[in-house]
Amino acid sequence: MKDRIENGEQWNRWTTAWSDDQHLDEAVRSPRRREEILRGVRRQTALMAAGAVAQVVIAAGFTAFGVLLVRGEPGPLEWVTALAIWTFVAIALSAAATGERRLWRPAGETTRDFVQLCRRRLSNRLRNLRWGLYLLALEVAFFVPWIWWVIRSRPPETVTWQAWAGSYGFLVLLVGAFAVAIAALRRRTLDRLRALETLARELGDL
Amino acid sequence: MQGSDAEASAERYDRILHLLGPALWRVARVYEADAGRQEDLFQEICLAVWKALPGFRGEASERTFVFRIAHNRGLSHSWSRPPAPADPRELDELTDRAPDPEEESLRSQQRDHLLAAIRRLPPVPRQVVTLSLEGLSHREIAEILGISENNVAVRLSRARTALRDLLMPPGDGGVEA
Repeated sequence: MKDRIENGEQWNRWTTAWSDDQHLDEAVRSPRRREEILRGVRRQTALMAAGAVAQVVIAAGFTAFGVLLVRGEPGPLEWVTALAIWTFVAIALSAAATGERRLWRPAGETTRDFVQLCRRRLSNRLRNLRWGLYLLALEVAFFVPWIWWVIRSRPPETVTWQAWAGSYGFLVLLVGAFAVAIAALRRRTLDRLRALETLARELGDL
Repeated sequence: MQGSDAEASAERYDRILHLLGPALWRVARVYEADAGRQEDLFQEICLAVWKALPGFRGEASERTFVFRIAHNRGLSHSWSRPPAPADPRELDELTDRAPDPEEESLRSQQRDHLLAAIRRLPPVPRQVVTLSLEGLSHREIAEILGISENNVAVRLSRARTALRDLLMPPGDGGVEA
Protein backbone atom coordinates (compact mmCIF):
# COMPACT_ATOMS: atom_id res chain seq x y z
CA MET A 1 0.00 0.00 0.00
CA LYS A 2 2.82 2.37 0.95
CA ASP A 3 4.45 1.76 -2.42
CA ARG A 4 1.25 2.52 -4.17
CA ILE A 5 0.92 5.76 -2.29
CA GLU A 6 4.50 6.65 -3.05
CA ASN A 7 3.82 5.99 -6.71
CA GLY A 8 1.02 8.46 -6.50
CA GLU A 9 -1.69 5.99 -7.40
CA GLN A 10 -3.54 6.50 -4.14
CA TRP A 11 -3.09 10.23 -4.42
CA ASN A 12 -4.59 10.20 -7.90
CA ARG A 13 -7.59 8.31 -6.60
CA TRP A 14 -8.02 10.86 -3.82
CA THR A 15 -7.74 13.69 -6.35
CA THR A 16 -10.42 12.09 -8.49
CA ALA A 17 -12.71 11.45 -5.54
CA TRP A 18 -12.12 15.02 -4.39
CA SER A 19 -12.95 16.95 -7.51
CA ASP A 20 -15.16 14.61 -9.49
CA ASP A 21 -18.39 15.69 -7.89
CA GLN A 22 -20.79 16.27 -10.72
CA HIS A 23 -23.66 16.89 -8.33
CA LEU A 24 -21.80 19.73 -6.60
CA ASP A 25 -20.56 21.18 -9.89
CA GLU A 26 -24.10 21.33 -11.22
CA ALA A 27 -25.45 22.67 -7.94
CA VAL A 28 -22.96 25.54 -7.71
CA ARG A 29 -22.80 26.32 -11.43
CA SER A 30 -26.51 26.25 -12.20
CA PRO A 31 -27.80 29.72 -13.20
CA ARG A 32 -30.36 29.61 -10.39
CA ARG A 33 -27.68 28.87 -7.79
CA ARG A 34 -25.37 31.55 -9.14
CA GLU A 35 -28.20 34.06 -9.03
CA GLU A 36 -28.82 32.97 -5.43
CA ILE A 37 -25.15 33.50 -4.56
CA LEU A 38 -25.12 36.93 -6.17
CA ARG A 39 -28.30 37.84 -4.33
CA GLY A 40 -26.70 36.71 -1.06
CA VAL A 41 -23.59 38.77 -1.80
CA ARG A 42 -25.69 41.85 -2.56
CA ARG A 43 -27.72 41.30 0.62
CA GLN A 44 -24.60 40.93 2.77
CA THR A 45 -23.02 44.00 1.16
CA ALA A 46 -26.17 45.98 1.97
CA LEU A 47 -26.16 44.65 5.54
CA MET A 48 -22.51 45.62 6.03
CA ALA A 49 -23.21 49.09 4.65
CA ALA A 50 -26.29 49.41 6.87
CA GLY A 51 -24.21 48.32 9.88
CA ALA A 52 -21.59 50.96 9.13
CA VAL A 53 -24.26 53.64 8.67
CA ALA A 54 -25.97 52.55 11.91
CA GLN A 55 -22.67 52.89 13.78
CA VAL A 56 -22.21 56.43 12.48
CA VAL A 57 -25.83 57.39 13.21
CA ILE A 58 -25.65 56.05 16.77
CA ALA A 59 -22.32 57.82 17.34
CA ALA A 60 -23.77 61.06 15.94
CA GLY A 61 -26.82 60.66 18.20
CA PHE A 62 -24.68 60.27 21.31
CA THR A 63 -22.45 63.19 20.29
CA ALA A 64 -25.50 65.40 19.72
CA PHE A 65 -26.87 64.37 23.10
CA GLY A 66 -23.60 65.50 24.68
CA VAL A 67 -23.87 68.84 22.84
CA LEU A 68 -27.44 69.28 24.10
CA LEU A 69 -26.25 68.69 27.65
CA VAL A 70 -23.76 71.54 27.57
CA ARG A 71 -26.03 74.07 25.85
CA GLY A 72 -27.16 77.07 27.88
CA GLU A 73 -25.45 77.26 31.26
CA PRO A 74 -24.05 73.84 32.01
CA GLY A 75 -22.82 72.92 35.48
CA PRO A 76 -19.88 70.61 36.26
CA LEU A 77 -22.19 67.54 36.19
CA GLU A 78 -23.30 68.29 32.60
CA TRP A 79 -19.72 68.90 31.43
CA VAL A 80 -18.45 65.71 33.02
CA THR A 81 -21.31 63.65 31.51
CA ALA A 82 -20.84 65.19 28.07
CA LEU A 83 -17.07 64.62 28.15
CA ALA A 84 -17.62 61.01 29.23
CA ILE A 85 -20.04 60.47 26.32
CA TRP A 86 -17.70 62.01 23.75
CA THR A 87 -14.74 59.99 25.03
CA PHE A 88 -16.80 56.81 24.86
CA VAL A 89 -17.95 57.57 21.28
CA ALA A 90 -14.40 58.34 20.13
CA ILE A 91 -13.03 55.13 21.65
CA ALA A 92 -15.88 52.98 20.26
CA LEU A 93 -15.55 54.45 16.75
CA SER A 94 -11.77 54.09 16.60
CA ALA A 95 -11.98 50.50 17.88
CA ALA A 96 -14.63 49.65 15.25
CA ALA A 97 -12.57 51.26 12.48
CA THR A 98 -9.38 49.42 13.50
CA GLY A 99 -11.13 46.09 13.81
CA GLU A 100 -13.00 46.17 10.53
CA ARG A 101 -10.55 47.88 8.20
CA ARG A 102 -9.37 44.73 6.47
CA LEU A 103 -12.60 42.81 6.96
CA TRP A 104 -14.41 45.31 4.84
CA ARG A 105 -12.18 44.78 1.81
CA PRO A 106 -9.94 41.72 1.92
CA ALA A 107 -6.66 42.24 0.07
CA GLY A 108 -5.81 38.66 -0.90
CA GLU A 109 -2.75 38.40 1.33
CA THR A 110 -0.73 35.22 1.58
CA THR A 111 -1.58 33.04 4.57
CA ARG A 112 1.64 34.13 6.23
CA ASP A 113 0.84 37.85 5.82
CA PHE A 114 -2.75 37.26 6.84
CA VAL A 115 -1.65 35.53 10.05
CA GLN A 116 0.67 38.44 10.82
CA LEU A 117 -2.13 40.90 10.15
CA CYS A 118 -4.51 39.01 12.43
CA ARG A 119 -1.90 38.82 15.17
CA ARG A 120 -1.35 42.56 14.94
CA ARG A 121 -5.08 43.14 15.03
CA LEU A 122 -5.51 40.95 18.11
CA SER A 123 -2.52 42.54 19.83
CA ASN A 124 -4.11 45.94 19.17
CA ARG A 125 -7.34 44.66 20.63
CA LEU A 126 -5.54 43.46 23.75
CA ARG A 127 -3.91 46.87 24.05
CA ASN A 128 -7.31 48.55 23.66
CA LEU A 129 -8.76 46.29 26.32
CA ARG A 130 -5.92 47.16 28.65
CA TRP A 131 -6.62 50.85 28.06
CA GLY A 132 -10.31 50.11 28.63
CA LEU A 133 -9.42 48.75 32.07
CA TYR A 134 -7.27 51.81 32.85
CA LEU A 135 -10.14 54.03 31.77
CA LEU A 136 -12.52 52.08 33.97
CA ALA A 137 -10.17 52.46 36.94
CA LEU A 138 -9.91 56.17 36.21
CA GLU A 139 -13.69 56.45 36.11
CA VAL A 140 -13.99 54.67 39.45
CA ALA A 141 -11.30 56.92 40.93
CA PHE A 142 -13.24 59.92 39.70
CA PHE A 143 -16.82 58.86 40.43
CA VAL A 144 -16.35 57.55 43.98
CA PRO A 145 -15.41 60.98 45.42
CA TRP A 146 -17.70 62.72 42.92
CA ILE A 147 -20.77 60.81 44.13
CA TRP A 148 -19.71 61.42 47.72
CA TRP A 149 -19.41 65.15 47.01
CA VAL A 150 -22.78 65.35 45.17
CA ILE A 151 -24.68 63.54 47.91
CA ARG A 152 -22.99 65.43 50.75
CA SER A 153 -23.78 68.76 49.13
CA ARG A 154 -27.54 68.03 49.25
CA PRO A 155 -29.73 69.18 52.14
CA PRO A 156 -29.07 66.81 55.08
CA GLU A 157 -32.69 65.55 55.22
CA THR A 158 -32.40 64.13 51.65
CA VAL A 159 -29.19 62.21 52.40
CA THR A 160 -30.59 58.78 53.17
CA TRP A 161 -28.91 55.37 53.04
CA GLN A 162 -30.98 54.67 49.91
CA ALA A 163 -29.29 57.59 48.16
CA TRP A 164 -25.85 56.17 49.01
CA ALA A 165 -26.81 52.61 48.12
CA GLY A 166 -28.49 53.66 44.86
CA SER A 167 -25.59 55.75 43.63
CA TYR A 168 -22.74 53.48 44.65
CA GLY A 169 -24.75 50.35 43.78
CA PHE A 170 -25.28 51.64 40.27
CA LEU A 171 -21.58 52.40 39.96
CA VAL A 172 -20.64 48.93 41.21
CA LEU A 173 -23.07 47.28 38.78
CA LEU A 174 -21.87 49.34 35.83
CA VAL A 175 -18.19 48.83 36.55
CA GLY A 176 -18.76 45.13 37.28
CA ALA A 177 -20.59 44.61 33.97
CA PHE A 178 -17.82 46.36 32.02
CA ALA A 179 -15.11 44.43 33.84
CA VAL A 180 -16.82 41.09 33.11
CA ALA A 181 -17.27 42.01 29.44
CA ILE A 182 -13.63 43.11 29.13
CA ALA A 183 -12.41 39.92 30.85
CA ALA A 184 -14.52 37.71 28.54
CA LEU A 185 -13.32 39.53 25.43
CA ARG A 186 -9.73 39.34 26.64
CA ARG A 187 -9.99 35.58 27.20
CA ARG A 188 -11.45 35.08 23.70
CA THR A 189 -8.77 37.28 22.17
CA LEU A 190 -6.01 35.36 23.96
CA ASP A 191 -7.47 32.04 22.75
CA ARG A 192 -7.43 33.28 19.17
CA LEU A 193 -3.96 34.69 19.56
CA ARG A 194 -2.75 31.29 20.78
CA ALA A 195 -4.32 29.60 17.73
CA LEU A 196 -2.62 32.16 15.49
CA GLU A 197 0.73 31.65 17.16
CA THR A 198 0.44 27.92 16.55
CA LEU A 199 -0.26 28.65 12.91
CA ALA A 200 2.62 31.13 12.69
CA ARG A 201 4.87 28.44 14.18
CA GLU A 202 3.64 25.96 11.55
CA LEU A 203 4.50 28.49 8.88
CA GLY A 204 7.94 28.88 10.38
CA ASP A 205 7.46 32.44 11.65
CA LEU A 206 7.97 31.78 15.36
CA MET B 1 -18.37 54.68 -17.55
CA GLN B 2 -19.10 53.58 -14.00
CA GLY B 3 -21.93 51.42 -15.26
CA SER B 4 -19.65 49.57 -17.67
CA ASP B 5 -17.05 49.10 -14.91
CA ALA B 6 -19.69 47.59 -12.67
CA GLU B 7 -20.85 45.39 -15.52
CA ALA B 8 -17.30 44.20 -16.26
CA SER B 9 -16.79 43.53 -12.57
CA ALA B 10 -20.01 41.52 -12.37
CA GLU B 11 -19.05 39.52 -15.47
CA ARG B 12 -15.62 38.80 -14.06
CA TYR B 13 -17.13 37.69 -10.78
CA ASP B 14 -19.62 35.49 -12.58
CA ARG B 15 -16.80 33.88 -14.56
CA ILE B 16 -14.80 33.22 -11.38
CA LEU B 17 -17.83 31.74 -9.73
CA HIS B 18 -18.38 29.47 -12.71
CA LEU B 19 -14.75 28.33 -12.78
CA LEU B 20 -14.01 28.15 -9.07
CA GLY B 21 -17.44 27.93 -7.42
CA PRO B 22 -17.21 24.19 -6.68
CA ALA B 23 -13.65 24.61 -5.36
CA LEU B 24 -14.78 27.45 -3.10
CA TRP B 25 -17.58 25.27 -1.83
CA ARG B 26 -15.04 22.55 -1.02
CA VAL B 27 -12.95 25.11 0.89
CA ALA B 28 -16.03 25.85 2.99
CA ARG B 29 -16.48 22.13 3.64
CA VAL B 30 -12.86 21.76 4.72
CA TYR B 31 -13.17 24.48 7.37
CA GLU B 32 -16.67 23.70 8.57
CA ALA B 33 -18.20 20.29 9.25
CA ASP B 34 -21.73 21.47 9.95
CA ALA B 35 -23.84 21.54 6.78
CA GLY B 36 -25.79 24.68 7.72
CA ARG B 37 -22.66 26.61 8.61
CA GLN B 38 -20.97 25.43 5.41
CA GLU B 39 -23.53 27.40 3.44
CA ASP B 40 -22.88 30.48 5.60
CA LEU B 41 -19.13 30.15 5.18
CA PHE B 42 -19.51 29.68 1.43
CA GLN B 43 -21.53 32.90 1.29
CA GLU B 44 -18.87 34.67 3.37
CA ILE B 45 -16.17 33.48 0.98
CA CYS B 46 -18.18 34.62 -2.04
CA LEU B 47 -18.70 38.01 -0.42
CA ALA B 48 -15.00 38.32 0.41
CA VAL B 49 -14.05 37.51 -3.19
CA TRP B 50 -16.56 40.06 -4.48
CA LYS B 51 -15.15 42.71 -2.16
CA ALA B 52 -11.54 41.90 -2.97
CA LEU B 53 -11.77 41.73 -6.76
CA PRO B 54 -11.53 45.49 -7.42
CA GLY B 55 -8.19 45.44 -5.57
CA PHE B 56 -6.75 42.66 -7.74
CA ARG B 57 -3.74 44.07 -9.59
CA GLY B 58 -2.49 40.90 -11.23
CA GLU B 59 0.54 40.36 -8.95
CA ALA B 60 -0.52 36.71 -8.76
CA SER B 61 -2.84 34.66 -10.96
CA GLU B 62 -6.54 35.20 -10.46
CA ARG B 63 -6.92 31.62 -9.23
CA THR B 64 -4.18 32.09 -6.62
CA PHE B 65 -5.75 35.36 -5.50
CA VAL B 66 -9.18 33.79 -5.08
CA PHE B 67 -7.82 30.79 -3.17
CA ARG B 68 -5.89 33.12 -0.85
CA ILE B 69 -9.07 34.96 0.02
CA ALA B 70 -11.08 31.78 0.44
CA HIS B 71 -8.56 30.12 2.74
CA ASN B 72 -8.01 33.27 4.78
CA ARG B 73 -11.74 33.51 5.28
CA GLY B 74 -11.87 29.82 6.18
CA LEU B 75 -9.11 30.29 8.76
CA SER B 76 -10.88 33.31 10.28
CA HIS B 77 -14.03 31.24 10.45
CA SER B 78 -12.27 28.42 12.26
CA TRP B 79 -10.85 30.86 14.85
CA SER B 80 -14.10 32.66 15.45
CA ARG B 81 -16.14 29.49 15.70
CA PRO B 82 -14.24 26.71 17.40
CA PRO B 83 -15.09 23.39 15.76
CA ALA B 84 -17.18 20.84 17.58
CA PRO B 85 -14.93 18.35 19.37
CA ALA B 86 -13.77 15.71 16.91
CA ASP B 87 -15.86 12.61 17.16
CA PRO B 88 -13.52 9.61 16.97
CA ARG B 89 -16.38 7.57 15.52
CA GLU B 90 -16.73 9.90 12.55
CA LEU B 91 -14.16 8.11 10.42
CA ASP B 92 -15.16 4.66 11.67
CA GLU B 93 -18.77 5.25 10.78
CA LEU B 94 -17.76 6.26 7.30
CA THR B 95 -15.47 3.26 7.07
CA ASP B 96 -18.15 0.88 8.26
CA ARG B 97 -20.63 1.88 5.60
CA ALA B 98 -21.51 -0.94 3.30
CA PRO B 99 -20.05 -0.30 -0.14
CA ASP B 100 -22.69 0.89 -2.53
CA PRO B 101 -22.69 -0.66 -5.95
CA GLU B 102 -23.50 2.68 -7.51
CA GLU B 103 -20.25 4.31 -8.60
CA GLU B 104 -21.27 7.87 -7.73
CA SER B 105 -22.41 6.84 -4.31
CA LEU B 106 -19.12 5.05 -3.70
CA ARG B 107 -17.21 8.10 -4.85
CA SER B 108 -19.29 10.28 -2.58
CA GLN B 109 -18.47 7.96 0.30
CA GLN B 110 -14.76 8.19 -0.53
CA ARG B 111 -15.03 11.95 -0.69
CA ASP B 112 -16.74 12.18 2.70
CA HIS B 113 -14.14 9.86 4.14
CA LEU B 114 -11.31 11.95 2.73
CA LEU B 115 -12.93 15.19 3.87
CA ALA B 116 -13.37 13.91 7.43
CA ALA B 117 -9.68 12.99 7.52
CA ILE B 118 -8.56 16.34 6.05
CA ARG B 119 -10.57 18.23 8.68
CA ARG B 120 -8.49 16.49 11.34
CA LEU B 121 -5.23 17.84 9.97
CA PRO B 122 -3.71 21.01 11.48
CA PRO B 123 -4.40 24.19 9.46
CA VAL B 124 -1.24 24.35 7.33
CA PRO B 125 -1.16 20.69 6.22
CA ARG B 126 -4.90 20.94 5.65
CA GLN B 127 -4.40 23.92 3.40
CA VAL B 128 -1.52 22.33 1.49
CA VAL B 129 -3.41 19.08 0.89
CA THR B 130 -6.62 20.82 -0.13
CA LEU B 131 -4.87 23.07 -2.62
CA SER B 132 -2.92 20.17 -4.02
CA LEU B 133 -6.10 18.13 -4.43
CA GLU B 134 -7.54 21.09 -6.36
CA GLY B 135 -4.69 20.63 -8.81
CA LEU B 136 -2.56 23.65 -7.88
CA SER B 137 1.16 23.40 -8.50
CA HIS B 138 3.73 23.67 -5.71
CA ARG B 139 4.54 27.15 -6.95
CA GLU B 140 0.93 28.27 -6.74
CA ILE B 141 0.56 26.78 -3.26
CA ALA B 142 3.75 28.55 -2.20
CA GLU B 143 2.29 31.83 -3.50
CA ILE B 144 -0.87 31.28 -1.50
CA LEU B 145 0.80 30.38 1.78
CA GLY B 146 3.79 32.70 1.47
CA ILE B 147 6.37 29.94 1.93
CA SER B 148 9.00 28.47 -0.41
CA GLU B 149 8.26 25.76 -2.98
CA ASN B 150 10.63 23.36 -1.21
CA ASN B 151 8.75 23.97 1.98
CA VAL B 152 5.50 23.16 0.21
CA ALA B 153 6.94 19.88 -1.10
CA VAL B 154 8.09 18.83 2.38
CA ARG B 155 4.80 19.80 4.01
CA LEU B 156 2.75 18.09 1.33
CA SER B 157 4.69 14.89 1.73
CA ARG B 158 4.19 14.97 5.52
CA ALA B 159 0.54 15.86 5.14
CA ARG B 160 -0.05 12.95 2.75
CA THR B 161 1.54 10.58 5.22
CA ALA B 162 -0.62 11.97 8.03
CA LEU B 163 -3.67 11.65 5.82
CA ARG B 164 -2.82 8.07 4.95
CA ASP B 165 -2.39 7.26 8.64
CA LEU B 166 -5.76 8.80 9.39
CA LEU B 167 -7.47 6.91 6.60
CA MET B 168 -5.76 3.62 7.24
CA PRO B 169 -5.10 3.09 10.96
CA PRO B 170 -2.17 0.72 11.56
CA GLY B 171 -3.13 -2.91 12.06
CA ASP B 172 -6.56 -2.24 10.64
CA GLY B 173 -5.74 -3.08 7.09
CA GLY B 174 -7.79 0.00 6.41
CA VAL B 175 -10.52 0.84 4.03
CA GLU B 176 -9.14 2.94 1.27
CA ALA B 177 -10.68 6.23 0.50
